[in-house]
Amino acid sequence: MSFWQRLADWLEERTGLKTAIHTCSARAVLGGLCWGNAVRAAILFGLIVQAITGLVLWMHYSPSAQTAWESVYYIQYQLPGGWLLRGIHHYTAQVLVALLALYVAGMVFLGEYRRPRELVFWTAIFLFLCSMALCLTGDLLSWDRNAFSATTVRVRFLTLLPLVGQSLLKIAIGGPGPELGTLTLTRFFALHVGVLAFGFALLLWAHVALLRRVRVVTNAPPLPAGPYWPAQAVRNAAACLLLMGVVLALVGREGAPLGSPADPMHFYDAARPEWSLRGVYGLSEMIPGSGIFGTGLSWKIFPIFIIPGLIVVLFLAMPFISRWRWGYWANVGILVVIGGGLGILTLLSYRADAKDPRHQEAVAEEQQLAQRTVELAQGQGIPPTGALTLLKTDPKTEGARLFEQHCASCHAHVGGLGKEFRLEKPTAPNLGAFGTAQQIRGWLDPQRIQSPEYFGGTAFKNGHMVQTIKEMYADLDADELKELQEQMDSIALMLAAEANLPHYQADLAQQKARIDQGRTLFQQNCAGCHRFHGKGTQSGPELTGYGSLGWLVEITSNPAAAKFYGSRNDRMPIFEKELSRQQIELIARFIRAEWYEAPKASQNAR
Amino acid sequence: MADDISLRPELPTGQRRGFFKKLLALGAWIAAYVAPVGAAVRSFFAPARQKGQPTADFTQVAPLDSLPEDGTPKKIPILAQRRDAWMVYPNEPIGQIFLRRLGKEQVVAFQVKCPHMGCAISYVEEKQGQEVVKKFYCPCHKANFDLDGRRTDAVSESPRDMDSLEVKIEGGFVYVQFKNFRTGTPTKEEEV
Repeated sequence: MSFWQRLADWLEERTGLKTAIHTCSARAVLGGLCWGNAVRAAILFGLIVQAITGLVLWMHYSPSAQTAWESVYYIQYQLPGGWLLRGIHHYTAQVLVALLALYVAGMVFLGEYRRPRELVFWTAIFLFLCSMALCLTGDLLSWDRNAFSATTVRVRFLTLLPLVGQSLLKIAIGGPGPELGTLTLTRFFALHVGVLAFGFALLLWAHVALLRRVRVVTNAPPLPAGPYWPAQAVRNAAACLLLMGVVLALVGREGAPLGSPADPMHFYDAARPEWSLRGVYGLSEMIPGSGIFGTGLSWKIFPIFIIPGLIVVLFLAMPFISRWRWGYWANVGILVVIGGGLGILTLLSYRADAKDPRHQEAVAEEQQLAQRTVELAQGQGIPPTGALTLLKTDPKTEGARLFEQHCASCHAHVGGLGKEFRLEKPTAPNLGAFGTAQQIRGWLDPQRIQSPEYFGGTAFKNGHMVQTIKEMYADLDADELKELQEQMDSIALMLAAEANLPHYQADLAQQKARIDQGRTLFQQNCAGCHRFHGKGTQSGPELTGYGSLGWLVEITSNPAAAKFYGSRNDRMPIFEKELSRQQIELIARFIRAEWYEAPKASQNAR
Repeated sequence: MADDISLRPELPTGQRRGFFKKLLALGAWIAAYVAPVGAAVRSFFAPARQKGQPTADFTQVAPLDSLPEDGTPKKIPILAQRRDAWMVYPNEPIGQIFLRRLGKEQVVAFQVKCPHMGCAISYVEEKQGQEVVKKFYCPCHKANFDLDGRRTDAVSESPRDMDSLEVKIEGGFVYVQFKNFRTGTPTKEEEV
């Protein structure tokens, strides 16, 4: 007798395992062979897949406001195989929701709720609801902007309820609010991996156990009889494989989404519910938020609580409705009307967003932000305060945002690096390519200096500087003009060297001789008005270190200082009165395009 | 396996003692669960009674000069101590407001949060034919407000007009009494 044979016998004597397996696999399947069993097997398979992937995700996940997004980023971009793990977990959840919806619909069509199958039917409905709840709690855990914003709205719906609404909101977010925070994450996480996951398993077990009992009781297999192994098993396995095929195809098409980290002060303008709730979202849009005849309640309570609640009640009541003569058809009617209605609302809602340019803009902005965060996280690592700090100290992101808020109503930012801001009627110079020789050269050109790109929109349009430049260019023959232009080129290069922009250093490195020439020319021709490295007199702005970080911070902090525009300052605010030094520095770095850029080769992560 | 049960010998039953035993069993069972379930329920529902940060007095938000005189709204963060669970952040944005300057010495302030579900309302300039329409707009559920914060949709998602805040001007600076308000209710009530 071989070792394995003896081991099997040993086990058989003590557990009866061999007989049990043999009996089970050879026993005729209750109710006959069918694809319905295969669907249930696929649902069980989905649950097992979620348990396996979920457990390993859990090993890498850290629920807190500073670490949730960060650990998901780690899973998605750094953990080997993490993107696949997360992708499978994400899409299996979506497929399960769809599968359970179809499963319930199938039961309604087949009338599989009639006595004594009521509980079988109800457990199926609760399985569907539980899968939705798992999606809703799981959705927040990535703690990205979309999750944060969408969940904020979701939990705030509780405030529509009279009396208990405010308390329920606080219970849901795990604290006094008003914002979601770390305790919301820990709460949702425990609900997701504990209560709801366990509840789903329990419901599935109850559903199958009740179904088996029904089959024993009814004792009428209408379908071809056959053993579990392999006749039913092959169908089950095929269904599971199909499910995984769909999931993998979805992961392959686009990995599980991860946006930019949650930022309570930067609400996501394109926040939308998951696809499975889009129908209710569409319904809600048709109903006003105003009060119901002075009751202190909003009409919104209907689409959010009462109508969905009634739909669930209606489905739960189907076994009773079916007792009526036309009950079966009434139930099919309910299913078609509700399912079709929600389907149409879902499509309309997606269509409306696709046609809304503002929505598209918000989506595109968020995608860029997400990409930028990943770029920074990969290049610089994430500080203990979280990935949001990376964005808040990034001139390309936060600098641009501050520029937009404080500068972009007067200054355009076009033609340089970073985000563009356009203006129809600029009242101050375009700062797009600020500090490059090409841009500086415009100040030294009689036409360009008067254009809206430079002084055109300002009080200096016909000022001393413009007059001086014009006079220099007046009455020149071709050779003289050429010489002057070359000299101006040199001065522009010299000033660009003062600015020493990081992305421009390579261009300047080859121009050493001309820069030196430019310095001499500047001392001879410009220092009469612009003080420069301790020489010259002050009437125009000092240009020592022109365009450097220090110079920009100083002039932005106080353009009306004596060394800059003094009393002739034209409308530019004294920003040190309203912005912090750090904020001004971020704006200055944005103007200088001084920020981290990933080396081109490293942008291949999924 | 069901036939196993019939093999067990029947036991004689004492009715009265049985009753007390049942009572005792149930009582002991429940008593054993009181403390753990009670503690769990208490902690789980604890947030229901928690109060947020008390409303700060007027906070300085911006120099008056920094607000455009044509009444274009400006979004401004409110900086204060922020708490999240056990963490305290000394100086962080706890909310945002819109400021509009209406005259030399007149400024109005609005909560940025939409009275509907707390999304952030944005200020938008929209071209409609030749005219540029300036308005407030909440993108989550597409609610429109005019610059005075009044709802302008025939069927508005928002249960009430935008929430205004108290403003005072002193020494060239704008001060605002920042508050959060309940969402979803037709009446404006502070959220505490």
